[in-house]
Amino acid sequence: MTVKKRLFRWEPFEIGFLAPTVVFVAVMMVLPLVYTLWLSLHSWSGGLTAEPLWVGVSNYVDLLLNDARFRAALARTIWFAGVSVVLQTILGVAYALLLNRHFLGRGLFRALLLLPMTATPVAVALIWRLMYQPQLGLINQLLGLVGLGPYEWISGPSLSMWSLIIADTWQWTPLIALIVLAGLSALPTEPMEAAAVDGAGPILTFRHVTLPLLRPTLVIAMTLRLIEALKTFDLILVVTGGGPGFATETMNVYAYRVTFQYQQLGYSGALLTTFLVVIAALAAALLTLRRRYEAAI
Amino acid sequence: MVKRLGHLLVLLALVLSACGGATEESTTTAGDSPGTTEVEAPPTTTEPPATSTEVEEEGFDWRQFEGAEIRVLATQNPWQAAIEPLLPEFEELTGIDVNFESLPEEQFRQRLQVELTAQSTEVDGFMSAVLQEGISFTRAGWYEDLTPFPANPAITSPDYGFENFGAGLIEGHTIDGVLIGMPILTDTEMLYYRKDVLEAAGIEVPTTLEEFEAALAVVDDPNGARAWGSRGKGAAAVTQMSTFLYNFGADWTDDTGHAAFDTPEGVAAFDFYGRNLNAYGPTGVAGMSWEELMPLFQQGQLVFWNDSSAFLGSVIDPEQAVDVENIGFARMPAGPGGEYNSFFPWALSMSSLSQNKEATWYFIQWATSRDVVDRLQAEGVAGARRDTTFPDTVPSEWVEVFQHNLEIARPKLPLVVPVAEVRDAIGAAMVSIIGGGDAETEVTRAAESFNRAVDAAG
Repeated sequence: MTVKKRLFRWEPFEIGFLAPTVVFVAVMMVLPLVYTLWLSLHSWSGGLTAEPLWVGVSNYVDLLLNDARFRAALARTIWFAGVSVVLQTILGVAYALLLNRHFLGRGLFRALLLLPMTATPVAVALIWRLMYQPQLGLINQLLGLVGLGPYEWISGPSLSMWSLIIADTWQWTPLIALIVLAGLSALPTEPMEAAAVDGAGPILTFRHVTLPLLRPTLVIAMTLRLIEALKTFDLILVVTGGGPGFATETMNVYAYRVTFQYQQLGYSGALLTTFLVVIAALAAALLTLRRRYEAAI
Repeated sequence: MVKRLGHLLVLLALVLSACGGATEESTTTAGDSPGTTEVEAPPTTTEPPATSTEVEEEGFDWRQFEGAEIRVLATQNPWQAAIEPLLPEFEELTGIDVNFESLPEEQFRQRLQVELTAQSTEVDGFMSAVLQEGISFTRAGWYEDLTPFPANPAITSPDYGFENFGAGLIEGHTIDGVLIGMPILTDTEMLYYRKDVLEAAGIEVPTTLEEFEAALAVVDDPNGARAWGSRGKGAAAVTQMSTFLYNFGADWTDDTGHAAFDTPEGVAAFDFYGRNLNAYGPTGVAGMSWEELMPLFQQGQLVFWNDSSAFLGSVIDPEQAVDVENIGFARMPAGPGGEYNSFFPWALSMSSLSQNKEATWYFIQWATSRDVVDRLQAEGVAGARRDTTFPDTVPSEWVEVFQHNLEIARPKLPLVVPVAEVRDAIGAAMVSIIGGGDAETEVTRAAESFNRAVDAAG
């Protein structure tokens, strides 16, 4: 008896339908990744006169052992993303809890919720930059009315990172709020009612009933947000440009400078590949956490 | 190659001093200084500037490339501001459609480098600063060599007068035998100041750095106009730092091309700059470049402001600035190391990947023609031609200071290959010092990064 072999368990027409997507993913995602990896093993200035030169892993060796600026940029990236995500989660959950109640105008608030997220990030960054201007910006002017300031929002090394975190939080808290709101609506009401019957107040109910049920949703929201926050580029480039000095230079900004200003494409390939590994590791860690919480419920 | 660039750029300063001096009583000739190869007297008569229609020579076909479209990338600076209103004249003269895109300097650099790295054929002409990217762009092969163009009578008007460009300047723009662009603007460091404030305080214009520091303390008003504004924004501030560095007796590099600014004199210069900006500068000065400082000066919020001499037009424009009668122009204060100034040339270059090279050459040729440069010089945009003058509308005080500055001017940037990288390193140090950091620590760190970058670039 002959065994009929089939390609990948799928019918030809199934392959036909899937092929465009596969090709798209291959060209738009896999190809650039492979090219970056290939570039990272070479040294190239991106010009027309010289070809990429094979250097093996020396870019990675330089990067990991000799580049203090890389280590500083990585630390800043993780700090920025970490603080932003924590802040956004706390505010987002609070916002979602508020919107979960019934009150007059709730529909309007829910619509307003989405607005910061829908604005173009570069436009948002430009407006924040104008507001942060020390002499003419809105923020220092308003603070000046009550006798505070003027503060060096984007020219002070310590303050500039916080200015970016504030701008980022303004734009992306709604994302977490939205996801958590969806999660809240899907929660069963019986546990909360049982807790109320047992005499628990709102805070205890939240801490011991709502929050544990919400954890998987929260972890998803935080993971999504963390990955994006680590990659933040347009906000930082427009508002501070990585400055003052290197005070707000994160991995993406550093890689951008190395590629397009210093013209070291091979080295930036190594930078970006390393960064990809870091993000993937952090995301994997968070997802493992989620599985643990899901199993516990 | 880098050293040669440096020597030739010093030559250019000497040769340039012959330009624009024809209407003044005392002119310097390039042949005065020892070691120059130029022995030509400057023109002593001036003809009234020709209008654009007179530029047309009989027999030269300005409409040869009619219908072509070219795209030119420019940075927002005085040359760009002065030439943009004249563009319709070029389009009418030649029938070539010019898509002139201007962006603030940071964004312009980013845009240009991204497009050139991507090997775009959409860029035909672009502004280029030889001190900043001359070497790295030449290595990348992005400049079209302009040498054959002026020599070709089929596409160059006989009226052009290529020989009227300062030879030192042309040589300074020739790297590895490639003429990277036609020079369009040369600036020196000018000290703009408010005469009425100094008079009210009863002090003379400072001529030494000591007097300058003392003056700052006197005229500073923490609740009103601050005493001094100068760039503090990282990489952008390095060009302004040069004059102070030289006047303290230090230099950017030594004979081997490595950092020489971490000497005690250099540290003193950085300390002077940062400390005084911290004490007497506007809030947030560490994040300001000329785009932020010029409006402050124009609104009377700064007493002293040093930056490019090319901002003359904007500074004395009554529609942009207040109290223009009280604006003075002074030399940069001398220091323990002597009296020096610094210069920064801009050029108009052609992309080697351009699909419209002859049409682009028409544009470059027109923009650097005698007639156009004459009109730009009325705004203080000093060009590179020796056969042009400054008209009487330009304040004579400015002309006198400008020409004096040219004679003692040195490059505004270190003459190395990885200019962008070292600018970032030095800029970061300056930002820290303005914020109160220790000058010695910061300068030493910057010098280490400087040397690492120079060694890696080879």
